[in-house]
Amino acid sequence: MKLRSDLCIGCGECVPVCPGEAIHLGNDEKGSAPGVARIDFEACLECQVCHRWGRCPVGAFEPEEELPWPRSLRRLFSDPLAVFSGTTVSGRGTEEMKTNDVSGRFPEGILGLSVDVGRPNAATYFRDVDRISRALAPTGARFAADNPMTELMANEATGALREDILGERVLSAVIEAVVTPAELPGALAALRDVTEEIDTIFSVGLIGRLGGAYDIRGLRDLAAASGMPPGEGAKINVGLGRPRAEI
Amino acid sequence: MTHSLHRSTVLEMGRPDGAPREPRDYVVMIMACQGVNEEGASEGLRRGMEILLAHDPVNLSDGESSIFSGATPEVLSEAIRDTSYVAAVYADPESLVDALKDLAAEDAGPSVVVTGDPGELEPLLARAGLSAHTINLSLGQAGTGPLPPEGPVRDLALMCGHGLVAPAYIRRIADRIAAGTQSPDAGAEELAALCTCGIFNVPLAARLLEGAGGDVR
Repeated sequence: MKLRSDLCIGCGECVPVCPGEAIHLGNDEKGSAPGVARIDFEACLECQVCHRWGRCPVGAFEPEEELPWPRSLRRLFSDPLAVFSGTTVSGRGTEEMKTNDVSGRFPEGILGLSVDVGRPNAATYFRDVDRISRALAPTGARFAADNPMTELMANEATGALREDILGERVLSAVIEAVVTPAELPGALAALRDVTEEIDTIFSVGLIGRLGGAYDIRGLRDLAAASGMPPGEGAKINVGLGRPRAEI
Repeated sequence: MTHSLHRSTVLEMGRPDGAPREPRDYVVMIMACQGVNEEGASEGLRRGMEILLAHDPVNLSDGESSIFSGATPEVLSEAIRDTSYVAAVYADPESLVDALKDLAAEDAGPSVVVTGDPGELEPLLARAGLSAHTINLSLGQAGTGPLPPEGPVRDLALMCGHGLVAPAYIRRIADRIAAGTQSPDAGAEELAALCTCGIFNVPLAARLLEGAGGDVR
């Protein structure tokens, strides 16, 4: 994102709007425009919120049409309207359980784990995502093939991300994997242990097909017995999806 | 997508009187499955949006813009593609049940997902003749970092699953409301404009902002 210091009047209205806390009032780089808003490009997530906000009285925010690699990942993982080429859908994760009634991505006996790194409102560097995915890999977790984070792994077996992206900061990134019920305690223990090594927050979701081995209570009990008791929030796929041939 | 899973506004936890939070908070999302029933799905998605709109949602979107980011329902409907997802927020259980009943009767093909407290949702789904096929349970947060303390700022920040509504901006709006320079409804709508997925619960946000007064720190 570019901020036109020659236009900025230093009103400061944009400062709290930035999810990355990257906008500050101060002198510009040459000291020629005191008191104007400036973007800390290291902190900037390229989320486009300052531009989309649309309340800058002088229209000082100008999105960059094309960002160089790997900075381009900041926008892909921070702007929900950016499309990741590998999945063709906007966003940072897969359809996961949202279409499981059609896709069968999570059959009975297979559980899904979604680790939303940087959420809520903490943001994250990919180096912390790398630490988490490398902690999960030895537990038997298999990473989702069509997840953007998996596509950025240098080694899917170890969970290691590409070295050239580790210094990029994004609003959040979702690691998605599947485990068996027997592997779940180890995977959740790995997530608890890795918190000592990271400088961000992550949110965890546990996905399960219901009706066979587990009902909702059974899955909640399994999560609790595996060391991470669920809260009260959940997403429920209500089974209305139909394969095209049945419509 | 919407990242509605970890929103704290569905929860009763921590409420001293144990009473249900009002207005309530339910998110409904409709989408087709890539590579399976996505081709030609726009018709079913558009019909799904019509149904959602007919039951008084407090927010509505085509996944890219919402009724609070400058689009009308007609514009949202026209923008729907096969790859779109349609989202709506309901603030009362009766509207949710009625919408789900109509979606089930339509049987249009795309998948339907509801976010909320599963203990509360199960009987509501049953009233609509539905049951849970697959669930994603929130196991909460872990790690170290600048997490806003539990309270209105955190609840409001989590309403936008992508984190586009910054806690500092929420505090700025709350300050205006406390100073009497902005109404809670206008403040909630200003925040909702940043949530491109349209899952910001505006009446609940207004209530949280109003009730927070000067305590949103």
